Amino acid sequence: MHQSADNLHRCASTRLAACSVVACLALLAGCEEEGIRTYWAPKDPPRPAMKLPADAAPPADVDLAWDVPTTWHAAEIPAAQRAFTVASFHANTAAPEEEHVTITVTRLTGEGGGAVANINRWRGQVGLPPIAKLEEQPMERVDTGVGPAAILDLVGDKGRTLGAILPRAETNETWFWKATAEAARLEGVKAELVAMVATVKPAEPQAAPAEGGAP
Amino acid sequence: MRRLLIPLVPLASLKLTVLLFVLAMILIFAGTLAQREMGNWDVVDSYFRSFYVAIPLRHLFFYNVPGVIPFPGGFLLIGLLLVNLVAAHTTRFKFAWKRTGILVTHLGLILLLVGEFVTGALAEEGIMQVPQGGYAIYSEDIREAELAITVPEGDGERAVVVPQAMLEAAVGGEPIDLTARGFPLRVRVVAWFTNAAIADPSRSQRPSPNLATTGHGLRAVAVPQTPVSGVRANEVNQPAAYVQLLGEDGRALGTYMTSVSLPVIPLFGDGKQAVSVGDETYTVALRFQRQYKPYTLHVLEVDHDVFVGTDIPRNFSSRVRVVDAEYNDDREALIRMNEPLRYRGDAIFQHQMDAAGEGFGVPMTGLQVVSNPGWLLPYISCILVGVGLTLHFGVMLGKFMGRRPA
Repeated sequence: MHQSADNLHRCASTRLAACSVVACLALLAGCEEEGIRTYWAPKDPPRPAMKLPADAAPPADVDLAWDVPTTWHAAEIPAAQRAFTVASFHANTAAPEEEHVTITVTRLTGEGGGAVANINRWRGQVGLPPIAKLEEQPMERVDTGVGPAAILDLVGDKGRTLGAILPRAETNETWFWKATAEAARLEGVKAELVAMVATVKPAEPQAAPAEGGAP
Repeated sequence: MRRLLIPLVPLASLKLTVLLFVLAMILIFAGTLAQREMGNWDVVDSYFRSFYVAIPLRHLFFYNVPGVIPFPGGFLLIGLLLVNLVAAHTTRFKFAWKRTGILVTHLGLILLLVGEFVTGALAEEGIMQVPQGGYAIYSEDIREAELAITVPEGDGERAVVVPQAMLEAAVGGEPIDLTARGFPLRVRVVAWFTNAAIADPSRSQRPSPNLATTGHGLRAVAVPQTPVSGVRANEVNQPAAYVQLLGEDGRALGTYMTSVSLPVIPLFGDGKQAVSVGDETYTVALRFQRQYKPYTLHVLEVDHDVFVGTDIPRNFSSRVRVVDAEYNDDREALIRMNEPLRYRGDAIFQHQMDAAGEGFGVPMTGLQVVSNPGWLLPYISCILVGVGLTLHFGVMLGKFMGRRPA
């Protein structure tokens, strides 16, 4: 009886050892690097734009200034946009907070990727078809203290965008003012935006604080 | 029969067991120190879920000592421990009722070791960041990126995705051919950055060459950053790449700068960039690796309770609705800290919370989704070890009581 139990135990152990080796090999096969995959997937769910911890201070080298409409409030510049965004404002502030309109001022090098490409991006965002040439886009001209700016008013199925584009050859930059919202909410904002862009002028250099000045 | 077992005798040595335990302790120590320079998951992959690791001497000493120590990785040590344990049972142990406790305990240990292999090979982890009132259909593995090229098809999109490891391996090499996958494109990886910031090219404090010829890269540049180490636990690498797309005929379609950070910057919309080939318009985007789910998770409400009169968090919770068309299932559930929702093999944990909407302007919840076919193994092995030790203790106690003089 003892002998048969011993044999039984050995058989079971051998089987256990074999099973362990097979399991290990199977698992190692599973460790293979993943390759290229192809699949069909539903459209991405809508995602809100990130509003990272704020740094309301504009970049130190901003060399333009403008008169902000009295009803507008300065808004915080999210950390992720600090490299590009110069300033941000809330308009329509008499309305409840959820109906405020955010205007961002962005400064990009050169033509900022090209006027047509930027306008087409804005057109796409409001559901308008792209244009092939700049001339196809109706624009208003506004003279500023540093040259002419173009004002765009794009209304499409997905909303409305008010924008101003100010190319600056002397600094090799293009400045953009942009507000996107439902069409009705931008009704009063347009005149304010145009008036503000018209006041753009070179910023006066700030006086350096006196050394050892009062705290 | 015994002769057949002779080759197993050296493998069954108790000295080998001790040696393997010592090596495992050294590996854990070295892996812990390595987290000063490497990310947690990089350490897990290179030290513990590997067969071999070259431990840089500078990880062990606090000076920049050159050179490496070749060392067995975690998988090799666990594998050898498994072989050692099984060999010991095969050659030495004899079945007897009084040894049942030891056998059950060791079976529990074997299961624990096998469980780590199963977890290492098959487990998937991801994050779902969902706004209140929104829904999720996939989780994202923030440890790995992938290049996704998509084209609209039906009410969704057809996608081909190239994993990060393949992109890294292809830098400066032959283009990755996607034509056999039904996409008339080849991808040449011009540059890869494990962690990069996106900056205005003229204002970046660390000038970086802009290799892009089209798309978002005309307005922004990827500036390489030091990869996140294990001591910066709240940070995540933000991979970026410059990829040149080529048509089927090898014609260059442009070099794009792409990064997982682009969708975070409103200037770049959803971060996708359009590429026109013939009549089709494809989009290209680097994103965190996605794991699509067979269900849709709607977030109905997020709650962040604090202890009264303080800002100390007491509880985070998300009320969710799971909709599963395949199983015709539609149910609500409450996910709370340490109370995950288990559904279709996934454990969905409450991970992060922004009930005040400070990050996105709307309340958001962060859910960690863990899919691990072997999740029960550690529990079963712990029960087995507990039962085994109790049995063994009982047998020994009985033996001791039997020996007591009357």
